Amino acid sequence: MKELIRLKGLDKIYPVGGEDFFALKNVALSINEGEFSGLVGPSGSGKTTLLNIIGALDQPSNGDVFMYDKRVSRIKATLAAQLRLHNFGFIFQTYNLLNVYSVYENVELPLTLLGWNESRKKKAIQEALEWVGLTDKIKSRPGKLSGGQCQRVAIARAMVKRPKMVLADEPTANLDSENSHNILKTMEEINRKTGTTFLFSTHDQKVIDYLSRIISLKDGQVIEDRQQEPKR
Amino acid sequence: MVFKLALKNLLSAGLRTWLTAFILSLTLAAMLFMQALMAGMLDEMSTIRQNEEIAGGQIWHEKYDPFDPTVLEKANAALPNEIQSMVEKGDACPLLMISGAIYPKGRFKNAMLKGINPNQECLKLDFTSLNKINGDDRLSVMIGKRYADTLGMAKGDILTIRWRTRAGAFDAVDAEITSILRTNAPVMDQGAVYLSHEVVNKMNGTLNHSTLVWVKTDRVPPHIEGWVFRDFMYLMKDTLDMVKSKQVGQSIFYGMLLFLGLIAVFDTQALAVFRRKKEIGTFMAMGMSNAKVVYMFVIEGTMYGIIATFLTLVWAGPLFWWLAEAGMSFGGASGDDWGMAFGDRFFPVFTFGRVFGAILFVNLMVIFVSFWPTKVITRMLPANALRGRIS
Repeated sequence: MKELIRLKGLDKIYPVGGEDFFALKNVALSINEGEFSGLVGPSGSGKTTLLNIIGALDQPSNGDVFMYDKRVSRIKATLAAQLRLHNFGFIFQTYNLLNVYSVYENVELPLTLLGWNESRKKKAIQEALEWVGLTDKIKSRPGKLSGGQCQRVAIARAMVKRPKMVLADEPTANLDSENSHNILKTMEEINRKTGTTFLFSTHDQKVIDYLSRIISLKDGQVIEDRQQEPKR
Repeated sequence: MVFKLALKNLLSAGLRTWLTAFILSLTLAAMLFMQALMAGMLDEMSTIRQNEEIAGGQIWHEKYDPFDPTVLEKANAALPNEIQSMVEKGDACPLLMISGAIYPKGRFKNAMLKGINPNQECLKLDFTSLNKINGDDRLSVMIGKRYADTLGMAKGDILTIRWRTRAGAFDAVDAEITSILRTNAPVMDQGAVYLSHEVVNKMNGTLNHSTLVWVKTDRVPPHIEGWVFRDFMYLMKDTLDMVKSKQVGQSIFYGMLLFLGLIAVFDTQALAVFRRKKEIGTFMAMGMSNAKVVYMFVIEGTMYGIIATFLTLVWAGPLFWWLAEAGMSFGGASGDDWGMAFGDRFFPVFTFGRVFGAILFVNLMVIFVSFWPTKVITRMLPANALRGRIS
C-alpha cells in the first residue's frame, strides 16, 4: 500500500512555567493508504496533539510531516486550510455540529467550501447519509438528535467529500456501548468500501478492538506500533 | 454560504440580535431625525428670512450698521440713479429707518420707525394698509403681531409717535394701527413701527432718502458710490453660524448614541468570538481559512447594521414621513420665542442623500466594529480554537 503520511523526528513543545514540556518527543512513523489504525494511550500521552499535527490543525515544534512524500509541516495557514479542505475529514468527541443548520446543511458545508455545484452536492450528501443510515433525518437539527445520531452526522460530514484520510478524536467517548459499536461498524464499513484511511485517537477498548494497527503513545513517545487482527 | 450562515446564527441568537439591532436602529433614527430637523429649521429659516426679511439681498447705505443705532441718523441718503431705476422698475424696494419712541396707552417704548413703500413687492408681506387714510390726520401704522401682543395693542388702536427731526427738535404725532403685520421673522416684528416711506421721509425732513434697499435678485450694479451690496449669504451668516454651532452639539449627542450602539455590536462580536471558539475551530478543520472565518463574523456583525436599517425604515420611515408632511409643534412655542425665524411648526427635511448618508455611515461603522474583535481569529490555530483557546 502506498504511504500516505510520514512523520520524521516530530516534537511538540509547550512552555509550561518557564520550562519546556514535550507533548510529543521524536515521533517517527508512517501511515499507509486504507489503514484503519489508532493512536492509543492514556490521557496526556499526546494522541490528540499528534492527530492535530497530522491533520494540519497544529504545527510541530521540530521535525516534519510528509504527505505523499511532500512536506506539509510549516506551511502557511491558508495552505494548511487548503490541505485540510482537500484531504482530511475530522470527527470530534463532541461532534462539533452546527446547531443552526439541519443535518443536510451540516453535511453540505465541506462541499460548499469546495465549491461543488448543487446536483453534485446533493448526490454526495445522499450517499454519505445512506452510509450512516440517516436519510430520514435530513431536515432535523442536531439538537433533536441523539448522541449516536449526531456522531453519525459528523461521520457523514467527514466522509462526504471523500477525503484521503479521516481523523477521529475519541469518537465514542460520549456514546454508550451500543452506539459506539454501531458507529465503529459504520466507519469500518466505509473504510472497507471506499479505502479511506482512518486514524483514531482513543483509549476506549471498544475502539481498539476494531483497529488493525495500534500505535501506542506514552509521555509523547511512540512506545509500540503493532498490527492486530480486529477482535470485534 | 457565509451570508446564509451569518443570518442563521443571528436569528438563532434571538433576543440578543433584536436588542442589538434595535439599539442601532434607535441610533440611526435619532441621527436621521436630528439631521432632518436641523435641515428643516435651516430651510424654513432661509425661506422665511428670504421672503420676509432679506429678499434677494440688500443694498445698504455705507454708514448703516444694524448693530449700531447711533449711526442711524446719518445712515441714509437719496438713492443714486442706478438704484432708483431699479426701484422704479419694481426690482428694488427702499426702506428708511429712524429711531423714535411710541406711547402705547400712555407708556413709553423705544421703537424703530421704518418707512416702506406700502405697495412693495420685494418681501412677501402685505403693507398695503399703510395706504389707508384715517380721520383726524392720524398716520397709518403697522406693527408686528408679537410686538402688538407685548404692547397690548390691536388693530384700530391709537398710539403716539415721537421722534427727533434732522434739525434736532422733537416732534410727535398720533397714529392708528391699520393692520397687524404677521411675520415669522423676528427682526421685522419686535420694536418696529411701519409707516409709509414718504411719511418717514417727511418726519425726518428728507426727500426720498433711504437707509437700505431690498432687491429681488442679486444682479445689482457693481460699485455704487456710498452704497454697499450685501448678498443673501452675508445676511444669513448669523443663522448659518447658529446652525453650525447647533450641529456641533448635535454631533456630540448622536456620536454618543452611535457609540452606545456600536458598543453593543462590538460586545456581541467579542462575545461571539469567545463563545464560539469551538465552532471557529470546526470551520477551520473543515478547510475554511482564517480570513474566511473572519469574513463570516464580519458579515454577521454587518447584518446587525442591515437589520437595524430595515427596522428603522419600518418603524421610523412612516413616522418621519408623517412628521415631514404634518410638521411638529413644540408645545405652542414658535421660533420667534427664541429669536429665530420660523413658525410654530417644525418641518424636518428628509432627503435621499441625507438618509442614504446616515445609513451608509452607520453601516460602515458597524462593519469596522464587527471586524475589530474578530482580528484575533486571524492568528488563531485551529487546534487551539477546537480546544477553546483564543491563541
